Amino acid sequence: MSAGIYAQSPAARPFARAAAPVAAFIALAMLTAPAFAQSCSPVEPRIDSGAGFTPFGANEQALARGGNKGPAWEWALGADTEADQKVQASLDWVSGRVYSWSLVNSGAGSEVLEIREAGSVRIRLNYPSGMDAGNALELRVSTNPSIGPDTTIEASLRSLNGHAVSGSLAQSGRRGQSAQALYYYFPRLAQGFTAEGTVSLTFPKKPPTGSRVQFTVRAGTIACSSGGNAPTVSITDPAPGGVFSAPTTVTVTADAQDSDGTVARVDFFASGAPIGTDRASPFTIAWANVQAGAYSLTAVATDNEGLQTTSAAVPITVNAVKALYFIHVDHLNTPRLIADSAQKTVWRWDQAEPFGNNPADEDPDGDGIAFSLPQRFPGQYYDAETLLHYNYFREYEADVGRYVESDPIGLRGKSLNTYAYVNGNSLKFVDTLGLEAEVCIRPFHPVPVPAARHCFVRFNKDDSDTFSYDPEGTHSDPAPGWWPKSCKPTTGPENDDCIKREMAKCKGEDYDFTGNNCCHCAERALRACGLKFPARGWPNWPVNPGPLPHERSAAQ
Amino acid sequence: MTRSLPRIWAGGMAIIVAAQLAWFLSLGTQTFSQTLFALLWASSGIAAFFVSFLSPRGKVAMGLSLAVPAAMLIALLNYGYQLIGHASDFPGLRGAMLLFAIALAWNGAICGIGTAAGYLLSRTGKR
Repeated sequence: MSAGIYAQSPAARPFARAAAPVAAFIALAMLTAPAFAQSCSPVEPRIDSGAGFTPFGANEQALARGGNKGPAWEWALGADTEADQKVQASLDWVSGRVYSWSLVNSGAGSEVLEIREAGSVRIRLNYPSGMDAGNALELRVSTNPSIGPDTTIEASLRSLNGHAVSGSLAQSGRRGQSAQALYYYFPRLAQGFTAEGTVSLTFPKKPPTGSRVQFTVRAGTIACSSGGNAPTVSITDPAPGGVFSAPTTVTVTADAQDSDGTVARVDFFASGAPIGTDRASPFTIAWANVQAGAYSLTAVATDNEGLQTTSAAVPITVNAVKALYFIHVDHLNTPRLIADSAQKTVWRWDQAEPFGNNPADEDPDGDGIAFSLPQRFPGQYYDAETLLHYNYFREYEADVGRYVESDPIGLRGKSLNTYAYVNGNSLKFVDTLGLEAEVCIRPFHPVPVPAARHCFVRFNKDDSDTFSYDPEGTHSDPAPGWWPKSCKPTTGPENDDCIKREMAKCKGEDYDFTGNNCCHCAERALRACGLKFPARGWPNWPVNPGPLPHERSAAQ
Repeated sequence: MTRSLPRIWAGGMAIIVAAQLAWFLSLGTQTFSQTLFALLWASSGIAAFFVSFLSPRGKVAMGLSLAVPAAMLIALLNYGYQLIGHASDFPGLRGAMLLFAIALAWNGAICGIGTAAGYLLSRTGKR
């Protein structure tokens, strides 16, 4: 721990009087009671050129007699500091060698400035007026600097968010000033500034506006005191190479210690992404709803001095688990409930509203694990980003119970409202592709029978999606592209599955070329599913006039 | 000129066979047309006309007799068309029988018209 200094106290004056001009600068520095601390490892004092390096060592001795010791290592703003206070620390080069420094304020970031010229470097700190006693400035050395003879470093702070910056803490050359009972602290600066570390300036009392601190190093090395040891941290749970099954909750525990203070917090990361923070020992978090993947867990411990240490990475693997779920559908094949193998409901979409305007409950069991199923009405795929139901040719908006695009076939089918969904009867019909069924008529293949045509139903204007009836029963049409062909839309809400289901009732052995033929089977199925096709649209009408009496009764 | 009945009948069948083969060949080469389609179903009438016109005797029987082999031939060709892997609206044996029945009815009517025309024309020429 560093020694304290009662700046400008009677105990300090002997030092000022005895010191060389360099020491005069040090005395001025004491006006503001800077605390110079570094997180380098404790080493024996090292003076490169002993005769010239009197300031810190000598000051320490002299000022220590003041008996005023303060907290050298704390880096915390006072409780009365304004919220969102942001200050920027900087180093102003005056003269000196090439050095690299960074000044860090309390959590607001850092700035690295390079001193590019050998010689004297002066440190000057300008504090905003709002800074009170207990405030501290941290000066962090970034890369193994070594301050040369006659180094003077000047540092300053300025407000970044509108707070007033009052000026410096002391004026150079005004030795003996500020004897107004200002108690400042000056740490022991006797160790080599040879590694990355931190220098802190702590003000036990509020410095007066306009004060400034200056240091001058005439010779030797700027030293640091011991004490700024970084914490140690390691992840104790899970073990490296741990394997889990998704979705899961992973408990991550870290062991963090600080030899010269306390561990303020431990932040946990998974592959670089933060997953939680714990501020008290034992440092542990529960990382919930972890999805499948490979992760690299790390913990970053921060001690009360702001020093951080990152633990070794712990790789874990979360595997996807194949599970059996049971989808329960309603009479329209709309998924309404999903249960797992333990018969626990993991997803449900109640029919609270006919057009599907109620969201699905993705966690009905309340275990915090969401189960996602994008399927909605048959043929629809829910897009959570647009809140629309993708319906192949169109998109359906459940809020208004209609499509957001007009029917691509225009007014040729259904109704004058080309945006409507299943003619407003969503409890009875579905529209799997947003298109209607068509009845197509073509010659027989490969032998076109004079004055006779073959009927089949085509879905979605797709010749590969057809249904046909012939002496061998119902199946996809064997020659949907056979020439010359004409297709006409049906009238009514489309329901592909219903049509196919009804046509499948036509048996091959019941086929009758002049009676229960392909056209009659199609019409009976269309009627059963609520669609219509004008009888005179059948080939050879009125000889083949459409549904026969027994076909009509069967469809009802 | 003396014409034998078998040769005349064979000549009529040759017309039918040629028309039907031409149709199925056009399916394979994707060169089918309305003309070939018309020829397919009119060939039996044309054949019946010539057979009836040229036959020295039994004109009606000779002309009408073409209807049966013409229907059988098209049913067989349809069946063979399936056997080589093509789809048909008259699948299987049941479909072949259906097509035979349809073709027989059609050819019977067409052959009747052709036979009548040939018969009447030959009689008119003799006067």
